[in-house]
Amino acid sequence: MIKVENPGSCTGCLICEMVCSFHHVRQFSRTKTSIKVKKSIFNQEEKTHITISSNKQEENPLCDLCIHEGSPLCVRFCPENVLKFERSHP
Amino acid sequence: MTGVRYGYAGKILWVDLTTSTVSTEPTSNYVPKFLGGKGINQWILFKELRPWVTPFEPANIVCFGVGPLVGTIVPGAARMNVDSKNALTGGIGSGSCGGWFAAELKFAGYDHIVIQGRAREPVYLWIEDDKVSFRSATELWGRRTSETVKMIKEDLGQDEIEVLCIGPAGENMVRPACIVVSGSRVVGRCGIGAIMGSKNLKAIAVKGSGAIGVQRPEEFMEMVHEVSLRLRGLEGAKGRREFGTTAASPLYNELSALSYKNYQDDYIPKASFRKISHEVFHRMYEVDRYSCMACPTPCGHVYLIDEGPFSGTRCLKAEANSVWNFGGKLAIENAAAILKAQEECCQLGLDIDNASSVIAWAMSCFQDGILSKEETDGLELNWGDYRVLLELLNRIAHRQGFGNVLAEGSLRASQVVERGSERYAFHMKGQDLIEAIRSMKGWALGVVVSARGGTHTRGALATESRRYPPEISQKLFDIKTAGDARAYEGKAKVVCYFEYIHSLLDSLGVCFFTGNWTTPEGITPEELTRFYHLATGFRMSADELMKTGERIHNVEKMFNVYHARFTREDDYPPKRLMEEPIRSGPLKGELLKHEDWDKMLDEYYTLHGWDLHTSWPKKEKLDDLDLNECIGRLNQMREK
Repeated sequence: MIKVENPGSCTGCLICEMVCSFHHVRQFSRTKTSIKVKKSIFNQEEKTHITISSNKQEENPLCDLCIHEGSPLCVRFCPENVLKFERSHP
Repeated sequence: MTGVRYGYAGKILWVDLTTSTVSTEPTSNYVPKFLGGKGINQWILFKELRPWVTPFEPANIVCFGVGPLVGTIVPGAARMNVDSKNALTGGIGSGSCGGWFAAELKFAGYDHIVIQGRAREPVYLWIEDDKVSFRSATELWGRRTSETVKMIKEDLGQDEIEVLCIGPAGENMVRPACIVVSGSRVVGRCGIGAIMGSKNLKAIAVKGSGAIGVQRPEEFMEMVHEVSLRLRGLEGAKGRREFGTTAASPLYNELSALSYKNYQDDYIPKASFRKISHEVFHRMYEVDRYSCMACPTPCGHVYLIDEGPFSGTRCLKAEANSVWNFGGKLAIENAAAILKAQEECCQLGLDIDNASSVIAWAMSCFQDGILSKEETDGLELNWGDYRVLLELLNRIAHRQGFGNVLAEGSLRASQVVERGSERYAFHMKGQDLIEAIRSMKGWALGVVVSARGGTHTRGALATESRRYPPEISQKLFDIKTAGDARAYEGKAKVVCYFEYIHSLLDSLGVCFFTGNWTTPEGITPEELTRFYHLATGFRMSADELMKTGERIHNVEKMFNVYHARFTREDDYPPKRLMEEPIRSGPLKGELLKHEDWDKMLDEYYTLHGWDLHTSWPKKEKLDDLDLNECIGRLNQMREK
């Protein structure tokens, strides 16, 4: 699974969203993505939220850990090492 | 079918505010000849505008342009260029900003928005993919920028949208007015915010659900990854990540290159500088960091003041310019007050460069007894007085009392006041100058000749402030002197190079800081060429791309020729900077010598293929750049 290890370091560059959509549709977008970043620089109280859809009910495509990409693109491209790929052990 | 499938969104949105109608045009009409972003904006302005149109007339046009690499993940591809007739110079007005708006516009399906006419009542534009609507902004008129964004989100019932807007300054057609984008980024100079105000256009909101594809996806991703890794490791990127662009201020002060008290000196005294250094902002006030869209080398910082008179102030960006303007030009030695002033400008929609410059002019006049308290609404305009600064910012934005005079910029204000006050109006082509230019000669050339009027983002080189060693200079530019501040020799060549680079970056939509402006290890023209090819499918050599940069630069120049008739005499620095040497700092004694300037200018025009006497592009040059429409205009000009 993709673990949001360090949300406080997220700068809101949205590269993770963009590469996620790239994986799903081979295009860049903010809608065709399994990962969603919400960072507010305007409000001190609001924390950065990074959510990854893992539920089939959700509107966004399901995270499939970037099957056929070698490794998850969001982890590979995140410049701040916010995300981590954890192999699940049965 | 729009003609361009990759990289570009494919459409240009034409908006007529007078008739509340919109239409679209394929972007392919302009590419690859004008690339995108600034290049296409400039060409539309050149073709559409006539010289008799003044900046605040409905017939003026504002072009918002987003380049073909925006909406992808090319490092730093987040920029939008905004161009119009300049509210201060009457020549070309041009500015650029980062943030998230640019990419959102691409996702909505548009590379450009061209605004024409004037709305009968205040409006804002709401773009949601193919749906474009004009909504009433009567309730928004008079509001500060963050409140405006909040109210628009409530009005639309949408939270995740991007908004650009003007504040009270733009509404009141204050010439130093800016456009505030994504709440924290600005299109600062040239008074384009005031032009939006003249059109009764308070804001543009956008939401896009579309996508941007690239022609060769796998190679594109590999290249992005490789370049990003390299950029993240660079020293400059590390400095900006930790301190923002304020990290560069010491480099300039150590070369006597920061205006102090409106050019009384070009050096901020050490003890004063220590109080407003990048480390102070970082240590005392920083609470968070952020980056623009698609940027792996962030420079955005959030500051919170939690004590003293400004307690509770949250400021979303302090730039090197904040230190230059408020700390240098106005001699404010209080870091919290600088952040407060920066935030007030953002809320009022005032450009910090032009606003602080006209206040510096007023303080000079007050100091020398040209202005008295009777004329300044009872305010004592003393250097370093931040209470007066904050009061004046508010009065300028609302054109109240003496603020109404300052709202015209220092050249026009000095023409109102007269009595020798002209001596303190440091401007280029009519727009206030913020850069200190006596010490670094190449920097000076780039700043002074820039088409939009006094700016370091149209060719001014950073090789002097970054002190490129002779061997690197030789390798890059085939001269030894690029890093030598005092040298005039060879600088014209480097300025020409960066004029093309800046035109390209502003047209492709890439930040100067991920480009090769401040370090040769940034994205090179060869890499830009490859990114452009992989993204759009258009193949050209690096030389052809540079020539495209040259073409765009010449269109910008031709706008100035056609609309403002600027000539060689407009390419000289303010007289006092050629007569009075710098008083202190490491480069004490330096000034710009007339004879050396003449030689440098000759070399600069010759390299460009421009006439030495008029400074105008020669017919052969325009022909070579495939700008035949410009030749016709040039002939008309010569006949006059």
